[in-house]
This record gives sequence, structure tokens and C-alpha cells, in this order.
Amino acid sequence: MKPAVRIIIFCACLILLSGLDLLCGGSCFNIPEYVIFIKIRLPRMLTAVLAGCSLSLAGLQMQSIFRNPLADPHIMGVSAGAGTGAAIATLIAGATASGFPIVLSAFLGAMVAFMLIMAVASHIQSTYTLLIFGVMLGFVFSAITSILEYSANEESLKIFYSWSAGSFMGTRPTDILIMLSALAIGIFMAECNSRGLDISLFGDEYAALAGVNILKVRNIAMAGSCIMTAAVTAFCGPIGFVGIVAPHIARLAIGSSMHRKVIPATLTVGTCLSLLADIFSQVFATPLPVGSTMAIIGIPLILIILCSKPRI
Amino acid sequence: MLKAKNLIVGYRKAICEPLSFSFEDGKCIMLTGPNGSGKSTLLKTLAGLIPPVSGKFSSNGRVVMVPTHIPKVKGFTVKEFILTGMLQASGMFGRLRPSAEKAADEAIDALGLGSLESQDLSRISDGEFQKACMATALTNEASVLLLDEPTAFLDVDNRIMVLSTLRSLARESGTTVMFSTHDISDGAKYSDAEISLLKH
Repeated sequence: MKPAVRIIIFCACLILLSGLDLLCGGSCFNIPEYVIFIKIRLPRMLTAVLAGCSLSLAGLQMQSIFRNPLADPHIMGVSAGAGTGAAIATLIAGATASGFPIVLSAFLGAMVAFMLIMAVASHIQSTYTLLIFGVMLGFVFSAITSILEYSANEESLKIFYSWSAGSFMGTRPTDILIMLSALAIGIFMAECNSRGLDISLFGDEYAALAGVNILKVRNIAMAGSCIMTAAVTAFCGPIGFVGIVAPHIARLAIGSSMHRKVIPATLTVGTCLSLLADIFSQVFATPLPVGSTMAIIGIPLILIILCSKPRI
Repeated sequence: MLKAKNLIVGYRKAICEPLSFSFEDGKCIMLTGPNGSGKSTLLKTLAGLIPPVSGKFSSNGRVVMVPTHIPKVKGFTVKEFILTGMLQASGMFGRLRPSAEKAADEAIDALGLGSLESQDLSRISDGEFQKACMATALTNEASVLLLDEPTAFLDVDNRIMVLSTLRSLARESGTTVMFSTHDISDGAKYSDAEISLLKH
């Protein structure tokens, strides 16, 4: 089967899953169907699409610049920063419901992590040292979050856990607009940087041969990825696996590692996975956390990919 | 043309004796010496990747160095790999200019990679991959081509193929080629001059 045909199949799946996602979810006797559709299901479906696109594109770029098939959008500690932000809002400031204060605080937490990474990245030449810094930063934020959790009351913990479980529910038009803007910025940066990302797969020495400033390529990729991850994590909570799995499936499907070809495929696959996780979370009487359904779908896929021939 | 006068290389501290040489265009030079004698450091210095400890060197065009190990990434054909190395010839969104495509085709022809251009990198031999790396250097308009142990880990056939390609490349395109190697007997057959480094 030709790669183009596979992409068309993925696009058809995307449309099908979008429609199916709109049909899933609870209903209420007092509220008309169209209100549920417009106010609840459509924003949820759009959020799933934007989250899938953003996280998968961020994951692709992280895997390329770190030349690590298990790198994902959360590897640089951005989502851990968002988690600390959300913990501060719920456990210290006493945000009483999962809403705007948590989102704002999570976004600020993610931005603090992002700025720390960029400040360090501009001074570190070695990609591996930077990767270690990102992972350590994530541990530091997680440790702060654990300390806050330890001293929190039951009600605050419940709100915090509700955010950290991950959900595409409850987003407003402005929230969707913010995520869309972050995605647009991320896609633009990734497309402009696509050749640089290709070169980074061949190592820093090859980049020097081609006369490319690999530091610039890496920093553009990290900035785009962090912006998209921060926006999605703030609104939806930390959602894993899609960022790891989608790029691998996309490469396998199109049989190429060139980013000009892989980026559109990754966006499509990421969206399909995200919609699938959302549909799966909605089929039960009580909706399941999307973070969990994504893991249930994602882990077997990761294992299959790891057991098959590695792509990069 | 590649010239050096009293050139001392090293990482802040000299690791070899002062070097002075002058090579005309189209010469193929073999660089030998034991491990730690400064072969890679000399090549990196000439490529401008690290500064010299002291002394001067110059060339009449762009110096490009092909490192010892470039990973063979799956999912790139030989032509895509060569085009990937032409980032500087690309415009917005990484679109290559027509002149860049032409330069890649010329490099592929010059190195006899025509039959392999659609092959995935994972399916070609290490020797053929070395040739693809040389083609990348050519597309970057190298007038001096430096190769760090291009025949390391290659079997006899591939070693001879790479060395003969280097000599033909130097003679036919006028590129000055300098390669480091531990395989002195084969290297000497395909080079016009030799630099031997001793441990400092």
C-alpha cells in the first residue's frame, strides 16, 4: 500500500472518529440535545483534536532533537511544571473547583519550566546534558508537588487529582482558541525547522558538516514543543503516550523519517489516538479519565513498536 | 589549496609538533599516526570546529569535514540524505531551490550513486554510505574535503572503493582531500602525499 493511501485512510479514520466522538457522552432530560452537542460534546471533541495534534507534534520534535525513540513532550519537565502550578492553585491558594484559576496557575507553572529550559539550553551545547537537565527539572517539580500534596486537605487533593487525571471536558471557546493559537505557532515553527530536524537525526557532527547551527534548530524545536505542551497540559492535565506513540506510527505508515512528510502524518495519527482515547473514556456510565484511557491504548502500542524494528 | 604555517593543534594545550604544509588543489593527502597523536584534532582545527593553539592555516574555499560516525537513519533515501545536508540552500519551510536539486544530482553522478539514490540508507553498505557523505560535502561546495577515518570498520572491498573514490574526486573535481587512516598500506596507494603525526 502506498504511503499516500495510508494517509488518506488515517484522514478517513479521523473524520469517522470525530463523528463518533460527537455521538459519545452522557445526556440529560432537562437539557436539549443541541445544547449538549454545542456546549459539551463539540468543545470536548475539538479539545481532543487540538491536544492530539499538539502533543504528537511536540513528541515528534523531542524524539528528533534528542535522537531518542522514547522522548515525549513531557520529557523536559514542562508538564511537571504545570502540575506544580495546579498544585499551588488547589493546595495552597485554595481554588475550590477545577476551573480557570487552576488552568492559569498550571500554565504559569509550565511557562516557568519552559523559561528555565530555554535559559539553560542557550548555554549548553550537549543535547544529552540538556536532556538530563530536563528530566531533573521534572523531578524537582514533582518533588515540590508531592510536598504540597502531603500537607493538603482531602477536598483540595480531590480537585488536584481531578485535574491531574486528564480530561478533554469543560473547555470554553476561549480555552480552545488559546490551544489553537499554541498549535498554530507550534506547526509554523516545526514546518520552518523541518530540515533542521532532519539534520538533527544524523547527529551534531553531521550538522557541522552541513554548516547548520544545531543549537538554533534545537531551541526552535524546544520552544515550539514547550508552548504547545504548556497550553494543552494547563487545560487538559498531563496526558501521556500520544506524544510517544503517534510519531512512530506515522513513520511506519509513510515509510519515511523526513519531517516534511512525517509532520502531517503525525498530526493525523495523534488526533486519531486522542479521539479514540476520548471515545473510550465516554463509553462507560461514569466517564473515565482520558489520561488513563490514553495509557490503556498507548502502552500496548509502545510495546509493539519497541518489539518491532526501531525507526530512529 | 590548503596551507599551514607552524600550526599547533590541541584543546588549549599542544598535542603535536608545529606543522607546516602547502598542498595544491586536487591533491589527495593521507594523515597517519597512532591513537592520540592529534589526527582528528588537526582535521577539526582545519575545518574550523576548534581553534588552533597557535600558528596559521588557510584555504582557497570552503572546508568541509566528514565525521567518523554518522548514523544511518532509516526512512531516508540516499538522495533525501544528500538533500538534507543542503539546509543553507533551502528557503522558507525548508523548500529547496532548483539549483540545490541540480547540485545534488551532480554530486550523485560524480560519486556514481545514481543506482542507489532511491535506496533507503538502512539498505546500503557502509562504504556506499561513506560515498553519500562525500556527496553531501560536495553539495556544500567544498574546495577542501576532510575525512576522519573514512575506512574505519569497512571490509576490504568497501575500503578500496572509498579510497579510489576519494582519489578520483580530488583529481576530477580539483577538491583537496585529506583523510586520516590507520590503514597505511592501502591509504598510500591512493594518496599523493602523507602527513605523519607523532605523539607529543
